[in-house]
Amino acid sequence: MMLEGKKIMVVEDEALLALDLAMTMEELGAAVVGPCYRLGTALDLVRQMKVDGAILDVDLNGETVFPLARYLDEQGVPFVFHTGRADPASLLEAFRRARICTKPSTPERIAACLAEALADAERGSDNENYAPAYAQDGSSMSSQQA
Amino acid sequence: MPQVKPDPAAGVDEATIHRRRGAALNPPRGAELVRKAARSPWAHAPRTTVGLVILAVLAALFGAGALTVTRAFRAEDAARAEMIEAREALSQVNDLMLVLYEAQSAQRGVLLGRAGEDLAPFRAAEAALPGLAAGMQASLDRAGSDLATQGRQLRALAQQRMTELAAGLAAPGSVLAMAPTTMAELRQVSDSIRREERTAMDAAYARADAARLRAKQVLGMIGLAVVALMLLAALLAFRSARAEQRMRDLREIERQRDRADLVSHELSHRVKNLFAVIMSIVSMTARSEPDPSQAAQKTRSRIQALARAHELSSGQNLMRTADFGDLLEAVVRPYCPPGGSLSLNGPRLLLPARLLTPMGLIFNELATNSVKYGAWSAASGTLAVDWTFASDETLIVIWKEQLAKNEPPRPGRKGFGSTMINLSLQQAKATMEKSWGEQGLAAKLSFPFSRADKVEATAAGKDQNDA
Repeated sequence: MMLEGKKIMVVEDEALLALDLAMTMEELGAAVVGPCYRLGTALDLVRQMKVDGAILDVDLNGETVFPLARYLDEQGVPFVFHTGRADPASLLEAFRRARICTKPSTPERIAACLAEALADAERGSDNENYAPAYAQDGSSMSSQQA
Repeated sequence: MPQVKPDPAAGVDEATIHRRRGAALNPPRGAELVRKAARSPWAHAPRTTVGLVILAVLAALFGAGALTVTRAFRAEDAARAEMIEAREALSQVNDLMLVLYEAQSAQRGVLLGRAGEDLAPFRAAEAALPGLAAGMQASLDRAGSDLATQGRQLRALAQQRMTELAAGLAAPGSVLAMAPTTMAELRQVSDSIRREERTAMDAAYARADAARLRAKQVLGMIGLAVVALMLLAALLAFRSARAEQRMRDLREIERQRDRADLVSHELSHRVKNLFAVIMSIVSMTARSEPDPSQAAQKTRSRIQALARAHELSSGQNLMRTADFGDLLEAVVRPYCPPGGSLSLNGPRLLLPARLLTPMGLIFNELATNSVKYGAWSAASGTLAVDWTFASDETLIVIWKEQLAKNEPPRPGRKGFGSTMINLSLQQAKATMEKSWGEQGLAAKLSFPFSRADKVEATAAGKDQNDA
């Protein structure tokens, strides 16, 4: 697992789940940013410090996490959507590089998913200075299933 | 009849919205029903077309009616004028004949009596004759060539007769020698004229009657047509109203179905979330509790609390779910030991769905703590939970335990349970102040409600006691 020493943001409005995720990340050697229960706090945090990856719950107490996802995408930060939504396809339409773990999912699986996203992002930045996702055809950069 | 095509953009829009909301897997099926209904012949635009046609036909019928009535009036007027003319001509012929008879009798009187004494009537008749004759001639000239000829004949005969009478006066001897044929001819001609005029009058009467009858018939038919058209219009209005009602019903069905889709998606989302939370309860409890049987027992109790809290939420209304009193009843009551008591007291208050999980976990932990270390660890301990909804949209909950007598208070150790309480408090943006008195734990919890929670609190108190 290549999460060792990475700064991973956890955004999840179910506190228990957030703690579970955070503890799992820490067990894997990552430094956890958060966990954040609300979009506002997460946006504040991510603007103050650079993170290496993120686990995002899509629906946060009636808000969607999309503004944060867009910000991370622009910054080239890889992330995983952890969601109970029934239509992952529409998420991938909007965020081609995103990876999706459907709820319920074990923290280990989410961690593996995130690790892959991080590896992909690194390869991408080695190849071609990391262009924004919206301009790309997406086949090389995103994987449909995590 | 014009077919109204269903607006394809509307369907696309809806489907897009559903996809965006991540709600609908299937396109709304109600739309198909609505489209089918639109194909029914009475459902749409024909209403206006048929209405216009009916209006046009009504206008045409009114026009025809007015025309017929006008023509009937005109025919009657013409007939009446003809009758007046005929009567005029008749009376003129009569007058002429009368003047001749008067002249004749005056002449005879003069001839039989003294000459010069009764000459005045004859002279008057003689003077009146030309005017009468001219008037009669004028009337008969208007009535047609045949009558005009007869009129001229009568006029000539009358003048001839008057001349004869005058000559008789001048030469009395010639009277007896006079030929009576002139008078007979006169009678014959005047009778012929009278006959013809009477015939013309009768014909005019008949024409007027016929015109009136025709008008009556046409007006009657128009009346029937108007009534029939009005019935047709009423039928159409009724049918279109029914079709509209059917469309409304279908739209309602569609709305309900979309709503049901939304509800089922929201529920599936919630279920997945709950499974995720349950999995984290399992792993977190396992992390904190080394003894497997203890871990299993705690896991079971926490999952049960979640189940009870969520059992209260109904699928019908996603945002307003459970009553707070019911939640306490479901989560806390099961821990009440035999002989212990639980008193719940506060207003009816519907909780937003987001609070079900954290509240279920918080009150479950508080109740289990009470059983382990607090009032309910002894048989006669009592627990009172009072709540109010403060004006700043905050739910204040007072949790007050009362230990059985001569039971010393013993605060529990800090385990994962309290971590879970703190996490859940954070999740609910809530706070808790705990204090340990002589009587046991007293805790004050504040749950702020956001504007989106749309709080519904009623004054109807909830007050239950258990002995």
